[in-house]
Amino acid sequence: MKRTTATKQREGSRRTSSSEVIVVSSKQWKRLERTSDARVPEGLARLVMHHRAAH
Amino acid sequence: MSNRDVIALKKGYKFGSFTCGNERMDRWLTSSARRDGGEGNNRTHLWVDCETQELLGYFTLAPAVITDNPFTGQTRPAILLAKLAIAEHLRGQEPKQGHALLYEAFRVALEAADLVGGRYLVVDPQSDALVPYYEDLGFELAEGDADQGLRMLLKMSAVRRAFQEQAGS
Repeated sequence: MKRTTATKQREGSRRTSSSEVIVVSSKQWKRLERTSDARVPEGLARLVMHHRAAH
Repeated sequence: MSNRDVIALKKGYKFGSFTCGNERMDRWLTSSARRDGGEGNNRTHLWVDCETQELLGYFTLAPAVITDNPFTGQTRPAILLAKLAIAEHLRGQEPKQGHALLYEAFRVALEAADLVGGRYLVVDPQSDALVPYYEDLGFELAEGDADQGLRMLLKMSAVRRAFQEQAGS
């Protein structure tokens, strides 16, 4: 079936549509779920510290 | 940076001469962002100069789901930072304006997660070149499906803790 321009545009907009599903491997899932909530990555801490001061 | 504000994109907003230097991103903002937001697919937030109301950048957040199997797997709610762009003329400035906008995007994403839930924050790096930058922030590439493009994720609890620690310091 030939895809229309409208169809292509709808497909293009799926990347930001609702209920986007991001698939991770089972191994990554387990690692992520086990990751401690206590640790803040250094780069993230720097970003927040630097810009929080401006607020 | 205190003269900047974040406002939700609303009907009738005039984008002015804004360009981020990427025609596709500009076109999406001016032609699709309002419609997508109106349909509830995502929400675009504008970064504006408080005094002049000049549009300086934007970011788009959308609901997402993390799973280890799209058919039978477990799921977790997430917030996706789907788009982020700053005005072309701000590029290269110090302090880096893109970092300031990213901070605002994280702040709004955290607020959304606190209201409706969101166990993970997901970003779309747009290009391979940005992967190391997000890795430095603690994000890791989603390893599950090569067809889903670049997607990187971080537990929202890490973002929350980063903001809490800075608030308490």
